Amino acid sequence: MTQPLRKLHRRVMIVLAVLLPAAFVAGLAARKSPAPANPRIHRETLLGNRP
Amino acid sequence: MSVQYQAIGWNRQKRIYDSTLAVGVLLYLALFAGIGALVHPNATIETLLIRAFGTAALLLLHVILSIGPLCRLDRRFLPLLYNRRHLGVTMFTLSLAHGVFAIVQFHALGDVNPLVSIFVSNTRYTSLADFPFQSLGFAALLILFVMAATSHDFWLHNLSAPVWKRLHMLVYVAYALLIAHVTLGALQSETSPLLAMIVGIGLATVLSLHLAAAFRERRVDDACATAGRDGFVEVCDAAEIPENRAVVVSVAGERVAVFRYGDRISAISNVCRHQGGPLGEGRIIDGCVTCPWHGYQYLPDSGCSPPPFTEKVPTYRVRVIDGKAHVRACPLPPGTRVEPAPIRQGERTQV
Repeated sequence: MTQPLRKLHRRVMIVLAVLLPAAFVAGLAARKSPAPANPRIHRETLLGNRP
Repeated sequence: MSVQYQAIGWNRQKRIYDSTLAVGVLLYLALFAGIGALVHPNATIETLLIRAFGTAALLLLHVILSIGPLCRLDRRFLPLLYNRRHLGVTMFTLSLAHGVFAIVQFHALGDVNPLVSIFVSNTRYTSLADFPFQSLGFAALLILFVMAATSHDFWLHNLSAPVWKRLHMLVYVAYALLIAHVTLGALQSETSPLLAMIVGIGLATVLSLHLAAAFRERRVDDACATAGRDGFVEVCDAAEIPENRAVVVSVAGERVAVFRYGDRISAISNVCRHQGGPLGEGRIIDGCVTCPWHGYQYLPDSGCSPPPFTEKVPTYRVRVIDGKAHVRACPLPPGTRVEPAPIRQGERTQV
């Protein structure tokens, strides 16, 4: 690679090294806790496999 | 190295490389779908395929992005670089399969155009947890398409290596979009921490490898030698240059490869005309400097590829004074023949 390209690559990687982990952690932090399963509903019943 | 365009210039190494790749991908897809069906018996085959193609593409992208810096840090990884573009096209194909199955599964059954539906079916663009992550994947897929479509040497030759390289640096944008696509998509509904850990480890690996390689390169660039009043730069003891190999020196902002072969030295640009590979990390084979990336060859005294090839790189004047190799900072036009400087201890020779 030529020096300008190496410089561009280095700058891109520095930006990504800051932004990507931040976005990744923010995305994980924004996760909603899954709704608890309703014990009175049986999937098999809904699918018609159970009387 | 080829004098005319072919769809693929097959050779033994490429066949082995591509066979290994095909077997690896098929094995991964079969294992993922098989184990997925056992662990999630209620999952549909479409869902399993969407996940299998998506994870295979993401895994392959991490491998692709790691190859470049690994080669900069350790020469033993160079064979992986040789056919990296085939990895890229395979990764695009897997991504396309993932995208097509996902669009058919989630966007094709309404009264809106499926491609429009990706952007309008969910418009919560301000919410992280409910972000329409498919739009990020679609944008990444478009970039990967452009890269796969221009991956052939035809485009490399016609766009020129610097433009082609800059175009293909869009892979980092695609990678960022895909990490966001996975984080705001699959990871939002995934209850097991395993997937988040794998993505996190992959991200950390790619970023640290690239940063380590980038700063190693920077150290070489920063050690830029200054020319004397006659324009020459002292490189090293000529006898220290390994036989049929080079010492690379940073001169006037660019790198020069000073090769020793027999009792002579010659200097050419360190940048291969093909993809900008580091010629100084190659060696002289059959009398030609051979690029370690894809085997492009140049005569050390003229910088010309041997006939019938037409590639040329700039050459530099060289001299040996008291056993020290010197190179003139100013490059000569590509293909200019320069008489090699003989290595004779204690004798001043200049060309």
